[in-house]
Amino acid sequence: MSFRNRVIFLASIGFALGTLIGTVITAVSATMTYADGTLYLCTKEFNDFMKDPLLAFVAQAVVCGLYGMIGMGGSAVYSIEEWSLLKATVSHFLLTVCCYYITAFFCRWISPANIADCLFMLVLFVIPYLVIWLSSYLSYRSKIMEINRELIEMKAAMN
Amino acid sequence: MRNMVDIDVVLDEKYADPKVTIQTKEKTEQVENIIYAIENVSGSDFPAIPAYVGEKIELLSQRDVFRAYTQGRRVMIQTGDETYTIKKSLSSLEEDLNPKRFLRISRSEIVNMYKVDRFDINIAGTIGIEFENGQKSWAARSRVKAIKEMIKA
Repeated sequence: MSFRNRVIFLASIGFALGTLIGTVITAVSATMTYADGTLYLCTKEFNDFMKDPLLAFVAQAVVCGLYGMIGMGGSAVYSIEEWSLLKATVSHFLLTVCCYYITAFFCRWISPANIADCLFMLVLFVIPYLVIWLSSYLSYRSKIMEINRELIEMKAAMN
Repeated sequence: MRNMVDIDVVLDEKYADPKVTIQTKEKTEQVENIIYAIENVSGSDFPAIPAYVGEKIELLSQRDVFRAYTQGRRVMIQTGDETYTIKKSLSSLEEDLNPKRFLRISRSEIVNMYKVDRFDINIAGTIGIEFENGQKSWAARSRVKAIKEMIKA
């Protein structure tokens, strides 16, 4: 599959996945804030910003889809042979984190003024990327070590 | 009119396996094609690879080839101490190479696994290849599985 096609394919799935997950989270948080009898599909600040709560809901769903599209489409960088695992991981991390902040600030999930919230989310992103990076690296390393052992045997058998 | 090739068959008991000698004024592409054709039908091993240094042609035995790789628009091929250029595409060359010996380890390279000393991985996750002559290269992560399968077999 060409790189371009791969990006398009992943981005399409990403959009759908993004809208889905965004809507599920919206439903969950709407349920949690339902206690006072009023349905809040989005944060109060976003409802005020968009004026119409329904418009806010739709905009939020679309923006979540866009975020998913960029994040998943962006994961195509892992298929670039010439890029090291580190380069692909860091690039994808930067892309995803930047898009997250743009999305989060737009939807008023967190405020740029609230440094604690911003830092907290950053940590929440760094941890999974570190874990995935480390497990990928260790997995390749163990395969390489096994390959080297078998290579010696293979060449010995030839002679 | 094309150059006519004169074919002489000399029966001699001392040759249990036929020996082919080509007498020619200069080693042209036609001569190279004849050699190539003979290799292909003689059922021995896999075809020798016609390789060039400038205009000079040399036929490389597959056993001597360490790696073949693309460099810009050209396809290069290396033995232990020489680098040549070949006129085929990498994919086309791949078809001629013995699959028990050679493996495509990235979009731009094919290696002779028997000439590889070892593989390694650095902190950036790049998989390195070191050949018996000290030459280094890299393999694509997506080919690790194929490498493992070839070596285990």
